[in-house]
Amino acid sequence: MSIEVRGLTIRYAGTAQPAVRDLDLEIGKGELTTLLGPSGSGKSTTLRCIAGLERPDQGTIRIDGQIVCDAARGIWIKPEQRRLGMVFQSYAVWPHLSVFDNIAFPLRILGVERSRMRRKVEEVADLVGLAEFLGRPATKLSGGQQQRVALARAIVFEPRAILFDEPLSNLDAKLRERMRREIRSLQRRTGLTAIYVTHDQVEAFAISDRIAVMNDGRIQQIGTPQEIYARPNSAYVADFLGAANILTGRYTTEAGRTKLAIPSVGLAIDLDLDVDAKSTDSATGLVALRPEDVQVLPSAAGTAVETSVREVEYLGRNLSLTLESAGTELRAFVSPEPVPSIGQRLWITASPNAVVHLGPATPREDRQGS
Amino acid sequence: MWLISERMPAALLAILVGFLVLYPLFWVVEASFRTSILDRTYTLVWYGKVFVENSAPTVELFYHTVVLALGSTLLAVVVGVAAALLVARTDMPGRGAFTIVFLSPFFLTPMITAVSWTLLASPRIGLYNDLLRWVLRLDALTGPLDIYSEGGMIWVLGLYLSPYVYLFTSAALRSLDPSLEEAARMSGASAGGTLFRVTLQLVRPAILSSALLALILSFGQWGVPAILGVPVRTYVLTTAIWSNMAAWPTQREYAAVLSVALLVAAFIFVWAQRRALSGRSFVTVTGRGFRAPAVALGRWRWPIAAAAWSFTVATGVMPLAALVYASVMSRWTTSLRLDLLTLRNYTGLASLEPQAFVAIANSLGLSVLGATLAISLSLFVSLCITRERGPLARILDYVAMLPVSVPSVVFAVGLLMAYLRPPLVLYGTPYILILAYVTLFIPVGVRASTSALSQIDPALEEAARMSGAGPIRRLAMVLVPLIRPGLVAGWVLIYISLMKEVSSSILLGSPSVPVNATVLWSLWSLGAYGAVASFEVLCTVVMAVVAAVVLAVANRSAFQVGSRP
Repeated sequence: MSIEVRGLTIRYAGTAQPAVRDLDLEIGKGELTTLLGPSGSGKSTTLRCIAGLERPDQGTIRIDGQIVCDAARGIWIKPEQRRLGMVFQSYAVWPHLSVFDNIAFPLRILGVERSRMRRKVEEVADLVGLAEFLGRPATKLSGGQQQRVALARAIVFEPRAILFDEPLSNLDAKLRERMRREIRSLQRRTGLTAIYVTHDQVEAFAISDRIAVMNDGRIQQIGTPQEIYARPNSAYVADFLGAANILTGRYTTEAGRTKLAIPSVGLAIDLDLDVDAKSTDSATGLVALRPEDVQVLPSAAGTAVETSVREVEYLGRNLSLTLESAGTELRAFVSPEPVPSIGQRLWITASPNAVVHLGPATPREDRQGS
Repeated sequence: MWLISERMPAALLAILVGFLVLYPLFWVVEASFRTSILDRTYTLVWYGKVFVENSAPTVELFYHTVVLALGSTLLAVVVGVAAALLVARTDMPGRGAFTIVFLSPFFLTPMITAVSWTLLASPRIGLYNDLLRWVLRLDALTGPLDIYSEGGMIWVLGLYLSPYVYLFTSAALRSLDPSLEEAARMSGASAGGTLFRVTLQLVRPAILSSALLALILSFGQWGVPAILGVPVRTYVLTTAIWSNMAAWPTQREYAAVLSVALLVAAFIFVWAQRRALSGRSFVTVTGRGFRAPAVALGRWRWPIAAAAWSFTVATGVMPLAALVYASVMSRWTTSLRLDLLTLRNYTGLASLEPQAFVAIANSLGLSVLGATLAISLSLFVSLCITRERGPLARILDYVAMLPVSVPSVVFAVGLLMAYLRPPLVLYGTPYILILAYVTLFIPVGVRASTSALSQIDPALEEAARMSGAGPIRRLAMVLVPLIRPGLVAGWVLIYISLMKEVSSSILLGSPSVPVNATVLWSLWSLGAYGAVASFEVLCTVVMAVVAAVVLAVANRSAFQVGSRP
């Protein structure tokens, strides 16, 4: 393990809830792990604890086996001695220094000899595409270029890992996608261990080896992007990753076949495949139905349920419909033609493969899923 | 680490600043209860003397103090707000030049403004009185104006304080989101209606805050009542304290009781100011470069401009002009007499007052040193306040702001009482002045460096930390270069204030360490108008030249971009 966090807890003065509670996290060498969650979920705080910019109340943090923080034993290595690179949301490029001096700063601190420093800075600048900007004042750069300066500064001194704190959220959408790809390819080429904090699930899916979805100061689920998307372990994760319809289902077994009934909508689905035993061993459980997996039919057919159209939003590639059945609202994505009218009757059904089983309902998840 | 995030430095700074402020004040309070300087027993007899035996003069003293403070504050608010509105919200011609002229008296000490006004509005020799007698065809030899009066003091002090109100109000007006006013216009309000019902209401916190600041400053003001009140035996608390401390026979216990009274009054006003402002945000700042819509004055444009310019020339330019004129005349005259032109006031200054040039050198050295020490100490205080979470930061902030509520005269009395005795005898040395200067101007320095620091994204320092820089290198390589413009501005502000300082210098300066204030007072006591004028012109020139040089050097090298090695 390159970075290992155990039992991390931090509480800010004047707040009832800890910002991070009893968090465990292991990050392998050369891996890019993303901490994904909404604001206030504790992802940045966790990152800043690893960086050393926040001091946790409890827990241990190891980097390459070295204990940098052990609250119980009072061990605390200052951030400037941890040898970690960090890229900040605001870039934090120093306006009083040139591009060269910004990138060279960590090497100056290390007392690297001049000609070696110059070689190293040029090499890194080349890597991030800043070679011809080295003599410029840092303030004369665009947002994307400033972010490259920050990136170069974070890797120039060969840190043990690199930490990204929402590095792209100040860039416009197009540049964000390009920088995302560049960061990923740079990280692969250098083989640096990386932790990446973001609230954007698309960014997280695109960039990560593994994603840790955070909620209320805890990791709700950790896994590869594919695992997290296909098998969310809770209504919270399913909802955060794609605004899913979270519903309560009842499982019944008749003649060896499991059936799922969703009473609030009136749907009944034949689960002819094997469902995780864990998910269905209780009679009721939460299920997620993604809007793109709701099948919408123009007329009654089979077990399809009648609904009426409440809202229609045009999203370009498709339409987002809000459908109502027996007082419950459901979202569904359909092709942009034809556009249904408000109040029109439509019928819905769902294929058994599309249903995500989230396991037994807890009151907590009910609240968040709604 | 020891600098920035451990508790130790914050606690040590709080103790140091607390000691600097409170130790002298302790001896003021102690003296007010002491039987006499030789008798270490405690008594209420001095309070009895002040408030019972001498109740009639004491009541009069408080009456004059309160009338002067309230009157000058009211005048400052009216003049300052009117000027701010004209400049920030109308299309009056020549607003830029008007601002410069309007703010120019700010660079003189109010004591010298008072001297200038005696040239304009003395009953017998005042230029304005001459003019008025001629215009109104009066036969009398004196009047109609008399600057040596309560009204005269209010006039001079109110005008001196109006730039404070102007600066606060115009800053608030400039940062006001113009759409708030546009919304009023779209809702059907006239330009005037918008001004009174929206604009002025929105900047009310700024006006209130500057008014309370003016009130605090006028309570502690020594120079104006010394020049204009003392000759006609109209005393306020500050001049009464000073005369009890400085004039033979000294009555230090009597002065101590009056000091305690002034201190209590000042604390009440500062408390009121904090209360009035607590929980109230200033104005909505957009952060965009909107030009606020100007109110078109229409056919009133030129009459209003003429009135505003006449007022500011008559009250701001004329006193200065009279002062410079007096400095090159062998005697004061209200007519233009080229035959009286002379440089004797300058060349003869040293023979009239042998300490004049020593005093200017002393003031310059003490001001430069005092400003440098105050801004350095303030930088560390601000670092602790902005970095530290929790109660310690609040305590430090509170302690560092304490000198705001301590009138300079009272603080000087405290220093005299604290450092006239062993173990540390500092009276007669420059150290007692440095102590006063640094302590009294910590709040100015802390405000300057805190606002500079709070504009710095914390990530800029964190990035340096992540790059391996320890506290000293973070300070030297990142923080100080980034906030240097703010630190320089704070330094210049403190330096100018110290060159003008009279309220504490008058008591703390001594024959062995003369400063501008003591020389000015001795020249004034001699009645040497020409020498007073030439001395003040010299002081102002020295002050301005040094400030200009510092600003030029600092701005030229600010944000100089490091080159490729």
